[in-house]
Amino acid sequence: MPVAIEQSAEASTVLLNGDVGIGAARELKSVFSQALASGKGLKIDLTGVTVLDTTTLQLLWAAQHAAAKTGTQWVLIEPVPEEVEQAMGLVNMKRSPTDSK
Amino acid sequence: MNATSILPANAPPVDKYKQAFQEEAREILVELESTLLELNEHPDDSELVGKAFRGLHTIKGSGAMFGFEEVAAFTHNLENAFDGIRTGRLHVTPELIDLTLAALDQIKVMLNSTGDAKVADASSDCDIQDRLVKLIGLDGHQRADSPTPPTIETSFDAHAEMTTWKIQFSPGPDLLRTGADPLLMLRELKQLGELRVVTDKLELPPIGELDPERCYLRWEMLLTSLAAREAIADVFLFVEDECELTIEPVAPAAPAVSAPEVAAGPELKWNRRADDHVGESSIRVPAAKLDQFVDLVGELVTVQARLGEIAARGDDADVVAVSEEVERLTSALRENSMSIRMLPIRGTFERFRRLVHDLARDLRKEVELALDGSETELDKTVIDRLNDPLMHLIRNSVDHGIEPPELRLAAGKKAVATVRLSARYSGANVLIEVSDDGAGIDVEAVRKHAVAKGLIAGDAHLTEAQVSSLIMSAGFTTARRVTDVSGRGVGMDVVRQSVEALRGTIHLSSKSGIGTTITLRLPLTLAIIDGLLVRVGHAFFVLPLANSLECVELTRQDIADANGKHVATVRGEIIPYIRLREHFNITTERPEREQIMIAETEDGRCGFVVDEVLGDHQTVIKNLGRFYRHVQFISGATILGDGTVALILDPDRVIQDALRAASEVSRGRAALPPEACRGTGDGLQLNSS
Repeated sequence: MPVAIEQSAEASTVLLNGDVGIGAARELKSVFSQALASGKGLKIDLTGVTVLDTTTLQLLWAAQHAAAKTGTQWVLIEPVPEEVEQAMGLVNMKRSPTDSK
Repeated sequence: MNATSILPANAPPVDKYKQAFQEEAREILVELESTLLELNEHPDDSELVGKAFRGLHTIKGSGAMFGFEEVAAFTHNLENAFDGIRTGRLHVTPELIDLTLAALDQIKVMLNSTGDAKVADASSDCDIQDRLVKLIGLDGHQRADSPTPPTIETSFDAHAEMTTWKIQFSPGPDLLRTGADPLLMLRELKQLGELRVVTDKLELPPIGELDPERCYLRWEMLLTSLAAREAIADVFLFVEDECELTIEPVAPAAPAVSAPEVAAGPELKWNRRADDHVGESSIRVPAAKLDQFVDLVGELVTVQARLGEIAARGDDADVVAVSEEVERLTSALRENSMSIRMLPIRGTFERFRRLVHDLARDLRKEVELALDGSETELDKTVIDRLNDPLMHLIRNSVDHGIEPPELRLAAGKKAVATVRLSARYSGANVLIEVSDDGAGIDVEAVRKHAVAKGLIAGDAHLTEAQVSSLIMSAGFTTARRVTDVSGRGVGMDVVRQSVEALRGTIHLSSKSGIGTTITLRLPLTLAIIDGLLVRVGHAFFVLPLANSLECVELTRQDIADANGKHVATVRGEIIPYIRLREHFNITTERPEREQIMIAETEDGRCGFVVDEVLGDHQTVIKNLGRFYRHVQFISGATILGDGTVALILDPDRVIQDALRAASEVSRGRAALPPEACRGTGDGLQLNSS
């Protein structure tokens, strides 16, 4: 499965793997919603992602925005794969809601 | 019919769009083939070069977008080659055209190999790529004044001006559902030059309200590049109907855009494209759905006929009025549904350019294909089933008909031979001709071969036309060698059977040293026809209205005046006739006055004598099934309003059958195969039997 969630006492970790596209979008939305609803910090693990698309970027933005609104911690687990780095750079996506880069 | 397959209703949407890409790509490949063959003849035509480049670019870009990475990667070098031609670095050569054609074949194979069922030939793939790289990169095709060897990665005109373009890209909400991904387009733009992107997320809702498959993002970009506007627009070619897009030059040779300037973001103004939604729109529908639609219309026509019968029997004026209105609407619906199925024959014709090109090259002949009447429209089913017969005919023309250049020159002909493929309307039929200016049929060789094969008696007296027609007999061939092209003795027989299965006929004429013409007469449609309903005794028949000329009365006195011959004199013209009562052995009593329905047939005018002409009838053609497939003079059946079955007659075949019966009676045996009786040009000779 390209999308999974791991819960710990301090944070929810959303794990994405492989080719994350429109086929996984509904599940990813559900996982993000679940993680945000827990009220804990949110960690995003993209280290296993090989390809991502616009649906994934939209959801990352929407989750970032929701985290910023509620003051939830948002962490992108390093290392971010080259593919993801390039895609985020191309559309000027910040690495965290408070990132001013 | 070769209906397009339909995915199951629960197929993932992306698979459906993948399939749509495959279909579109196949269409583009057909167009590309024609373009390349035209380019072979006109290598300096820049419009053709641009067309080929755009086609390849679309296949590459869309292939990558829909997950056909192999196709995209394979097409990349081809696209670069044609970009090189566009920018004057490379020239069109026959070698490049042949290589590109071979590459298109490989792309077709790749398109057909999906999922685990990989059938693409990797070695062939590599071979083509190697030859292509060698051709465009290492040999002498580069311009002598080119300062550096062209590399296949270069895709800009060296003389182009650096321009900064403002690109506003607003995908439609459903664009992601089509399988397209704006991110890939942005990446492609980035390859064209220096790209600055501002993503507009204003429409992005809170995550709880977000539809994850809908596109909420828009982009405004500044691209500084040598690329022309067309090259930038090509990036969006496959989604242009699903987005709003403007591409405007900010300034030529503009200085590089500074990041803070872009980060601040120019005012976001999303303009609708000026040419948006201009022109007719169209939708793609699986052929099977269309077949189903026409079947339902056919059923409706049958029910409407029944309603008409019921209305006519009663005396309720309201029912009659409603029945007439339903008849009017059904007729309009029928014409409409038929017109939807009509397609120009251009697509089929154009495919043969490649065939002729390849055959001529392999056989070392010089042949050009001339096309006439490509706009002629035919039912999709007929068009689908015409491909193989036409291919056989063209192969035969090029292989057997056309002489080698040296023989043509010696015979006082041009070295370059012409094979002509033409289509034109003839009533409710379409005539398709395949003609060549080759050597014509060797009648003596055909006669000897037919005797040797036992097809005709050694002392048979046949006209040249009859002898020529023998080449359409089963297993007939005079080719002295079996080639890859033809000469296996099945071609013409298969052609005849295929054409007859379409309720068509085939006629051959040939002149020694001048050439051969083969004419296919095909019905416009195979589903519903206008017919003339007639009665003989208790039996009903339908004669196609397209063949019908007029009805005249036949009295007993007329019969007596003809001295036993089956002929009638109509306004001074002697018309032979066939009495359907006798032909079908109907034993009910003959009426005092009969009717002759006069029809135009392949062999001239002929009458069909019936008891009564009941009037015109919208005839839904029903297949009689495999048990009756050999009864050639009946082309199907239809159901009348009261449920009675009427047989649909094929006038030409009825005549042939009558001629054969007359011949058997007079000779006491069948001296000729049915094929030899056809198209003799001797007219009808029907005697009372």
